[in-house]
Amino acid sequence: MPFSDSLRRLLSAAALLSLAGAARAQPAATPPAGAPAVAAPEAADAGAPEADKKKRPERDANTCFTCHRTLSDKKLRVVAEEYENSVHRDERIGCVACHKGNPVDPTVQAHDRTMGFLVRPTHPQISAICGGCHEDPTFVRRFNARLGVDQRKLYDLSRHGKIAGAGDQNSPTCTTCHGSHAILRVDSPNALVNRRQAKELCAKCHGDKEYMKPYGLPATQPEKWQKSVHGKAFAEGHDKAPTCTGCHSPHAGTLPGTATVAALCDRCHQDERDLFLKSPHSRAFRKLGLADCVPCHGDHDVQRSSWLAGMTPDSACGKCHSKDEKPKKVAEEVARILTEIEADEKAVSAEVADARAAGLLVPDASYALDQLHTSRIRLIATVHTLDLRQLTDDANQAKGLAGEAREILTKARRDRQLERRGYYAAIAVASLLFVLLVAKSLELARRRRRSEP
Amino acid sequence: MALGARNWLARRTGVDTLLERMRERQVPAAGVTHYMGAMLVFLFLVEVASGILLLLPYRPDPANAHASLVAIVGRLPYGALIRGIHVWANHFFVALLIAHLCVTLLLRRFREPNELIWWSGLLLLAVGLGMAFTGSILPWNQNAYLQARVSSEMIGQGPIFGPWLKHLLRGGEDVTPWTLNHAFGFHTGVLPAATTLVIASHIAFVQRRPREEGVATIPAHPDFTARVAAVATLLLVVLVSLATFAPISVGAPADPREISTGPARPPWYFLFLHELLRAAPPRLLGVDSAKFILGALSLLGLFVVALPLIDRKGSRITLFVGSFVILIAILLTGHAVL
Amino acid sequence: MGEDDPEGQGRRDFLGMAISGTATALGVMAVYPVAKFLTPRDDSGPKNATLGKVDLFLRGTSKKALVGERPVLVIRLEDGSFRAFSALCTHLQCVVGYSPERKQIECPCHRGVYSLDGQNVSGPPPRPLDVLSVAVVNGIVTVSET
Repeated sequence: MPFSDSLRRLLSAAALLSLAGAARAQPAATPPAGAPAVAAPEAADAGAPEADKKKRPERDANTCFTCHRTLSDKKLRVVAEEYENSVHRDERIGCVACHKGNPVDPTVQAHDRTMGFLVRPTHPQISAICGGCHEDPTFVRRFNARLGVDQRKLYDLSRHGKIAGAGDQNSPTCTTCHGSHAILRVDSPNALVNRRQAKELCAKCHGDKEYMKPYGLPATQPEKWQKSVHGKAFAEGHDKAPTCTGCHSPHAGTLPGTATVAALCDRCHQDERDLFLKSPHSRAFRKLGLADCVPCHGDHDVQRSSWLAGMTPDSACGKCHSKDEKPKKVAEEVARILTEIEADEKAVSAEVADARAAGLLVPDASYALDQLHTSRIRLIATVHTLDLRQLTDDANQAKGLAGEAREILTKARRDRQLERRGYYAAIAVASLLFVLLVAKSLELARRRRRSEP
Repeated sequence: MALGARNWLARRTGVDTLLERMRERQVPAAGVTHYMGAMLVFLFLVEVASGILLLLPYRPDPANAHASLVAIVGRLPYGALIRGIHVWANHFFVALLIAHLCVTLLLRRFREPNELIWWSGLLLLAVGLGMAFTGSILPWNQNAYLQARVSSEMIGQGPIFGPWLKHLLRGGEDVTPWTLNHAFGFHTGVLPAATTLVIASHIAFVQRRPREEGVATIPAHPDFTARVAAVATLLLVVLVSLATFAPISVGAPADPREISTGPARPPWYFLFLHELLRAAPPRLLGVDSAKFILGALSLLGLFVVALPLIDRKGSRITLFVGSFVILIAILLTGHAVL
Repeated sequence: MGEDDPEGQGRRDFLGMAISGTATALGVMAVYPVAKFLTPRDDSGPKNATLGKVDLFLRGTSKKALVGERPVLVIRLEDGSFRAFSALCTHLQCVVGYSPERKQIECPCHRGVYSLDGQNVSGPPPRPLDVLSVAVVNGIVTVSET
């Protein structure tokens, strides 16, 4: 019965609350002389294993923080201020977790190196320090059950990780992107690693020509992406459009196991990729060691692609096939089909607009136009198969739709012409009636005048 | 054969007696209000006929209302014509209503024994405007939605009955699908019935009026009917021509989330009020200006209703004040249009 | 009243007749648009429908679908081929169904029976069922009006 159910729940909740209250009321441990007052251990820590306790000292015992917060030197104070707003502070991960040392023992001097204290962990040390917690699923899941624990592993497999591990100080480590003290949740608007700022973050190194020179990498990718159809969509607010992290895993660069980044295109463009895999290009590219989508579409500077097919100087086919007869024919045929259907759609669209401007509302024609548009988009996807027969079939279907739309419009215009003729006839008869009635009225008036004395 | 048919009808119905009565009944020969009234009845009949045709394929729920209108205008044969006639006839109807009222006022025809005619006429103005307003909501395009909102809000600022009227018009506190349903019910059921009854009583009251001395008259039939038929035919020609060559757009379907593009323009007969509200400062005499303006207008309305009791002699003051008010309204409307 | 004006009388009669005639003509001309408006020919609407994956369509079973507003019956025979018909009985438009036990199409209203080709077998239906065509496109069964 629902009532007794809720009553039971109410009683359990009350019991839990009273227990928690009782736990909090435990007498405080006698604070060591000389150290600032220490609050009682939190009830939540009461059952935690010893090792965990070291990672999470009691908040008010975080003497590093309380001291640094009051320092007059800005450089030293800022670390406390940054930490104060960070997600680590929210979860009560203290300074010790990364810097080691012992802030609680009053007999120990601050920054005492003998306690394992690290003032500034070195570049190679950092990923190990972060990994100390972030690779431990049992620990991490107490704070965020959905947070992964594979970041360090991926990082170690990535180019960034490998050269950082070999001693390259210029390669990023965890704190380069996430910050050291002001670490925020990834989806927080102010986080350095927020998706919306991904390009700005990566471009700090990958957009800097001098920085990239020793690695032989161009520094053009961020700019190229910004000008691409993906970058533009992203800037317009389409959150699903890929930014750097959409294709390059944030920690792993190219995901381990994938042959190239291009293998990720089908995260969104699945139909096109499936169709491409049916085409002769798929095998050829694999043999030549070419990535799937990149030779025709580019990588960072992907643009709208309907002009790619054909044998014009700009087109993609000409890059390889300018001397091959059969591919040339196929390319030209594909280009011809696409141009034809595009022209059809434009023409029908103009006709519908004209009709509307003339006051002729033809919803059936608009519907056929929508279907034509869909058909054309599908056609562009089908180009990836390079199957001329399929393409011609689909193109004929699209042409059929254009014909349908035109037929509907012609019929509507013809109907209107007929209606107009009917209108003129009716107006003629009505005008005649009007004249007759006026004559009748005048006649009646004349009669009355005559009959009146 | 026509004579035989007429006899057949005459024996079974009262048609010929009616015609005989009409031959005896006299109507002022130059009674401009009589002709206006006859045209109003004609326009009402046109609206009823075209309205019945339109209500058959129309769907009165927000999801389908606009689409059904597009289907009527774009897919049904002669749908655009019938809808065009309905919309243009409405404009003529309201214009003629207002003109009829103004002429009657300026000629001071509200004096005894015409009180009932005056009051039933004012009632007709109210239901006529009500039909125009509810009808303008039915297309449920962006303009219709905004009008439903803004006009009912405006009416809600009126004194005493304002909030109640707003609730009635909206079918609730807010503009919801019920608003459209209410508008449909009023426009196709309640108001046409009320209008028919009030027209009937208005004409009956006019018929009961004693003959005025010294006014040239003509028989109601065939003189008056011939003239009325002539003007009606002309009016029909104008309506059909406008419907054919000046179609009215169906607009875009209503999207309540979309921010109003520009000020919501009420139909032309409310433009004077729109101008007043726009030009007024936020507060007038310590009261919210919208409430003030609507309160003032309601007072004016009350005054108009009470005119037969106040101005028994039909004094010149009414003529001057009336002309002045009408002129102001015309100027405001003109200012809004230009 | 003007009886002393025979010429005028003739004119009046002519006028009266002319008015009646013209008014009647106008009335008739108005009837045509109204009639067309009230009874439009509606041949628009979707001409096909999909019935899901071909592998999920078991042999010896049938599925019902709607093409526009009209019900259709699609049967997959034992040999894997498809038959599709308009599900409106040609008698009085009840919706027919497939009987797997008797391997025939039956109408529950007046016991009309059709064969698996849509031809009449018994009962009051006067004509065979309308045939539609079935195609399997990308693994999806699609039925469309021929």
